[in-house]
Amino acid sequence: MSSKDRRPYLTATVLDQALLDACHDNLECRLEMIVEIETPTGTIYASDRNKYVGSIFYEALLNFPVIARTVGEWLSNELQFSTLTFELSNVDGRFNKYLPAGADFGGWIGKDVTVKLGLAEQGATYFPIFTGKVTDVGGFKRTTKSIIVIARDIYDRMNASFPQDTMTETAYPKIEAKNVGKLIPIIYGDYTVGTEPAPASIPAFVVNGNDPQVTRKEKSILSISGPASPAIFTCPSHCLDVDDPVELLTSGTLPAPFAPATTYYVKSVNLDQFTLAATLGGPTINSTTAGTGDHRFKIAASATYEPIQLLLAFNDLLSFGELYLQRGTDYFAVPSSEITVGAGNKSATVAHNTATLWVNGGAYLYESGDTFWATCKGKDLGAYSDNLVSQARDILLTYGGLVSGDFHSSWDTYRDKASPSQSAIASIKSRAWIGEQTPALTYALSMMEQVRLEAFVNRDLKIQVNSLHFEDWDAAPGYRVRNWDVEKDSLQTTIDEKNNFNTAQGVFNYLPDVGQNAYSTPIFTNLAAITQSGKRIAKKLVFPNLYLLDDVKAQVTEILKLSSSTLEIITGNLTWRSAIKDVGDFLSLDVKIGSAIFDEVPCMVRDIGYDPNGLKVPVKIWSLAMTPFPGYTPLNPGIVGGYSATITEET
Amino acid sequence: MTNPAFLGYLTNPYLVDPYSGDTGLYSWGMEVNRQIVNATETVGAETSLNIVDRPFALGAEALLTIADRPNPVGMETALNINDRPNPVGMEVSRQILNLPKVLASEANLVIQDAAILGMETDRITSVDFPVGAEVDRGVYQDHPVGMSAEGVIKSAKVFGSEVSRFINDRQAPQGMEAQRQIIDLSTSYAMEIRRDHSMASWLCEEMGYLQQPYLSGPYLTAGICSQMGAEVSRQLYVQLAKGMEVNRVIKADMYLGAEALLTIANYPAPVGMNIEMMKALTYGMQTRLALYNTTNLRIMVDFPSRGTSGVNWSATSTQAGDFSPNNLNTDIVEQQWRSNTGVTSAILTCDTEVVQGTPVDTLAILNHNLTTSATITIEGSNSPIFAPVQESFAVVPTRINAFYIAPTFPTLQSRYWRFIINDPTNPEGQLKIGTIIFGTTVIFQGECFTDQVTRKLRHFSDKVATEGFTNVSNDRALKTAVSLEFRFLRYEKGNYKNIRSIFETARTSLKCLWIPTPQDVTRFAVFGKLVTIPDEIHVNYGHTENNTVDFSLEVDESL
Repeated sequence: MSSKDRRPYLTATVLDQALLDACHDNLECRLEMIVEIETPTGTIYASDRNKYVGSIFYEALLNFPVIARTVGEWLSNELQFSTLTFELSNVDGRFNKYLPAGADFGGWIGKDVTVKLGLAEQGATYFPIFTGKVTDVGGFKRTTKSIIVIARDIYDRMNASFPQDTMTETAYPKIEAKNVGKLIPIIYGDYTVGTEPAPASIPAFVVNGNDPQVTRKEKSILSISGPASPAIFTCPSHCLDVDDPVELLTSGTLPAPFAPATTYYVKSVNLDQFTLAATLGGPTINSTTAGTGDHRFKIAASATYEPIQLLLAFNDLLSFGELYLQRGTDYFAVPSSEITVGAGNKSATVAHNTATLWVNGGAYLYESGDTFWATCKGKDLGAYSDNLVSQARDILLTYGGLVSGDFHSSWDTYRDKASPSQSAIASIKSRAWIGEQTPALTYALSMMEQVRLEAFVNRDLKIQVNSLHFEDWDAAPGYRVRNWDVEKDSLQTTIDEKNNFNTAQGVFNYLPDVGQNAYSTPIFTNLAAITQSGKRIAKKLVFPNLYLLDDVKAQVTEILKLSSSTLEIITGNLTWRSAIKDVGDFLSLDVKIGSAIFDEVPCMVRDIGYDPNGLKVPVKIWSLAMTPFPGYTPLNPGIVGGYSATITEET
Repeated sequence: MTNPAFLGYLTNPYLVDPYSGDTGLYSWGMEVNRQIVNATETVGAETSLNIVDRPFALGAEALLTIADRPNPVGMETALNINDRPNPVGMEVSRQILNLPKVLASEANLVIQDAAILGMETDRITSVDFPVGAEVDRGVYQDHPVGMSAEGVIKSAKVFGSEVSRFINDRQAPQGMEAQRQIIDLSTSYAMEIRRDHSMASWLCEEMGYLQQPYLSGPYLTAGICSQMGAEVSRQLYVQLAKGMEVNRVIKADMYLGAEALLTIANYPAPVGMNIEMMKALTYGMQTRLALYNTTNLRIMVDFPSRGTSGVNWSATSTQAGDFSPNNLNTDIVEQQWRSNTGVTSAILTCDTEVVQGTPVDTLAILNHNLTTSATITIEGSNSPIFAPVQESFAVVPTRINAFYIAPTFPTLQSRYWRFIINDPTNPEGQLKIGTIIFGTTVIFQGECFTDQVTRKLRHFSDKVATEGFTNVSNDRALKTAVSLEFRFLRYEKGNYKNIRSIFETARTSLKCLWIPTPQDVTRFAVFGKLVTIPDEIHVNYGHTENNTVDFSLEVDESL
């Protein structure tokens, strides 16, 4: 006599939904968690029980905390990452070497911590649910019987701010003091169009505005050593180069043998000092007297005019376009003949005091306060240089510390999405000029939200894209959650008031020259929602990276459809049957608990976690009971939002 | 009743008064034949006495028969001396056969040997409810060769039997030699045995049971006091013996001490004691004594199998990964040695790193995956190449955990031990063993835990109550805990001292192997920690041997 295996988890080698469903039919499974903690002297393999996974033995040394992943709040550019605390038993003193006065004290900072979830001893079934690094602040400490390791999610590094590089005197010795410390911007996309109101919007910073060969101004000398061999001229930020011709001026007497109105040649320089020679390349001049009075120097009249050095961006650019000089309220197009574009198209020089007369009919002579604006095309991303998804991905890659393997394939999917028109990412134009420090992750998320995409860390710990495009949703989820999938007394429901609005206006096209979004869309409304709620709930939506009106109008319309659809947020703990579900997954909610009646309602998972106590799965899900979308029509009346909502453009 | 002129012997006191017969001819003795034949209402006896064909009959040969009479009132008797050439004693046979309502006793006494000097007696009472059967036989001759006596009560419901036997008046009695048996009585009880302390003896520091009232005083001892020439053999053969099984032999021809061997062997549930005692040819007494049993609680606290380094195991096959044979040394039974996949025959070798070797009275193979058809042969040697193999025994695998209990006290010590495992039908296609421990144990002698043992099988499972009115479980493990109760442990005796030492050594943090019932190891054996160190309740009678200790303990393998 044989019967169906009631404990299939004992022999299964694959952890999939079919197995979990089969186990749940018998109300029993065996999912377990393990952790691997890198140390200076090897890896600690631990668990909350003694067990093998594959060929590695994990010793019962700790209890796991609750671990969660989230997609964050909709229309918010925040994505929270876990900081987990692991308390490892140290009753036998095995970790003492890592503690103060131990041989390996301090060696844990930055070490990897990985938590995995899987089926009993089947190594192939384990998947990471947390990867992090031991923090550098309080990353480990001890109690009398344990050692505590604190690890921060590995993707927390995406919160690194960018740009990081500034204009310094070291990098640019002849820079004017007013520009010292300014961030060097990062530029993506096409800034040759829509650069209102000026002809160009990208600032081109002058980085040699303190060069006396540019300014032709006298500079005070702090001191001249004398008698001394050689005579050393001390002058902070003198900005001279070797062989520059200079003349000396004084209110008293120069140290002998120096004399005013005589051309000398710079013999040697350091940051604040220089020496002189009587002839180009001649010997350094010694002083025989101390001299009296205040001394100055200037570039000799015979010296050539150095070009103006301009810097647009930190990153290489696809192209350098046009350049404009702003002097007061006047703009002067810089003739291309006067411009020499530097390597990577991110810098240029403008010839100085040439025969080309382009400033009010005269030759251009630099004046402090002169400002340059350029047009350009940002970082070369091949065919996707204007693509918002590609730009966000590149920001995370370049400045967020990610590598290509960290990205889920959905990035390519949405990068190339070509229809419907309101969601055709491939044809939506995006650009970014980042001149203020901001976390890379925050900036990338803000870009994605403008086209109703979200990024989250998926079950495989890859960065994945979740779509809020109605047409991407699953109208008939195969995964059905019923009463016995929900922990008793855990289910709670709330209305998403934060994102419940029925009127919206988009502002878009951030331009650095004006320091704000330059354009606005008309106001869009959902009149039915206004009628239903009895009031007009308005929100201004910001699209700093979009600069084409139609693109923005389409996004405002779609966002308004969603926001006016009465989204209900449901939180609760599901059983381990839902352990391999993920953020963005759809499920059919079929629970009837008191007044919480959900009759096979499609829901989207927003947050998911793993509670080691019973391997419960704490979740936050969106109920779409009031949100029609392609393929799904709610049964009940009162629908005002969703895919079929009527959005009116106010004129 | 008036006597007639010729009185027959049947009317006179039997064998007291003279008797004569009117038909006796040529007899040196007397030949008598009287019959009452065909009388319809016989009042006297019907008798037939014949001496037939005996040329020189010195005794009397008689046959008395009452046959085929519907209502015998007297006695029907047959007395024969048959086929004995020179009977000196008396051969008697008395029977009452097939009578439904006998009032007297039914007896049969036979002397069968040809040259018996003493007396051989056999009495059997085979009725269902004998009352007050009492047997006492003695030989009181001047030079008895010995007395051989056997008394048997075979009724299934005997009670109150009392036996006392002595050998007295021997010229050179060496002591007392006795044998008593109760055979095949599954429910015998209330047996009382007395021993005579009249022989010379002296006290040891701790009294041996032989000097105490048998089975009434303590018999746990560190040394047994010698009594010159005492030779004792006692055996209980019943299935559920509650007494003691003893066999003691003095083999040497010339000795001043005593040489004794006491063994309990091959009984499924012995409760007694197994003792081996050796004597040397000295004027003093040199004694080596080991108390050993396979019935009482035994506890393994120290594991010589782990050597001194903890890295003392090797295997002919080990799977890559965390499967080193040295995993066998951890208290974590889940941490295993595993042979390579596809390898179901392997040899594990343990170097105890103890130069003089270690004896093995208990061995445990924990958390294994061996099938019950696997063979495990264990060999001990003092040579790393096992040449020669000093001792060898087999362990019969039982599911998950397998044990070996030495049937007798191990007298050999081996440094190297190897486990030859062959399990060709292992469904996992490889061998897995979590922990192996072996060595000697602390064995309770005499006293033990009370009869009631609590065994708990604990299922560790995280349960989540759902809105579906049911629980959903995430399975973890199945672990065993055993609770034992101890009552009236003698405070001054070794059992209490030993277990107290275990409390102090193992505390609640070291795992020990607890085997409450070595004769059925898997029933209660648990490799675990004390849940708590027990509270002891001492009964103090002052400075006497009657001070006792009560406590309860629980051992849990999940701690």
